[in-house]
Amino acid sequence: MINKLEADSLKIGKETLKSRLFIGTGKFSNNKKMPEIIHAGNASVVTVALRRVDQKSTEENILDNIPKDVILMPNTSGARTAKEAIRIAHLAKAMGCGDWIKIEVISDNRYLLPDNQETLLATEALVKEGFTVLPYISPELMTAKRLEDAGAAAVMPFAAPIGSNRGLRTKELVQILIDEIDVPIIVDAGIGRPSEAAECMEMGAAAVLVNTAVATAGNPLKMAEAFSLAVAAGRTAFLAGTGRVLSAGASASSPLTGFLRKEEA
Amino acid sequence: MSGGRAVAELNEQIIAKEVWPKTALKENDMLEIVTFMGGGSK
Repeated sequence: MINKLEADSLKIGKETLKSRLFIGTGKFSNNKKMPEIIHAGNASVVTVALRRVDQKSTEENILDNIPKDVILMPNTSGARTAKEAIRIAHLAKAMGCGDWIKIEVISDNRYLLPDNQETLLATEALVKEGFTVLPYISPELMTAKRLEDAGAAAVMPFAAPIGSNRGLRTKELVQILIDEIDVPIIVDAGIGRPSEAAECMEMGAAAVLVNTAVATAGNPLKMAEAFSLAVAAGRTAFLAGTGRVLSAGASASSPLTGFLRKEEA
Repeated sequence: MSGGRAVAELNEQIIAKEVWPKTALKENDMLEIVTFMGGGSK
């Protein structure tokens, strides 16, 4: 059992990850605290967006605040079509920070739900170009199967709408993906509490990505640490195998003999 | 701008940094300069 736990590392593309927590870099009130927060969460992968340079902005470069020992996963946020996602992926790769790309194609501005069909088209094209592609999707089995067939390195279904902190609202659909898809399932978006991250991991998710839950916490540093512990606890529970659930009644945990009081005749 | 910090696209074609000094802009050229920013999703 010990060996099994020690050997429990997640491989994605060519990389072996040091943990199962991914962190997003949006909405932090102070980007200078990001290295500490990323370390507190023991995050293995950090996602960043690509945006037009604002010549007037004095904001420091985000890469200065990302530790060198994490994998950088640019995302295609802002893309509304496969074509735009592919264009953003090319720009991200030209930045020279590896070949990982999180495909995110969203044209629904109210719920920010991903467009699975365009995401599949972008994934097919970028896998052929040699990218390590992690598509963000609505949890839907046939889309996930097609993404897997297309060569996606992982599949990232949402728990709840982006930035909502509403928890694992898609539990049954995510469980189906975990059961039926061979590539790692990474739950992304909507996770608000460490207990929800632990739940994903207990179910057999390969990893969890959080951003808003940490960025909007009272103390982001402490919350990153809490997520790290929760993800590790949930993973260990998954490997241990949770105990059985009784459909009714009870089952004593102590022996039913040898009471201190006299045995009744 | 220091190396690896921004990427330029001229008329939707990525222009390698080495080529920047030799590239002149013409009228109606579409120049896009992008960089990484904080962002999880959307």
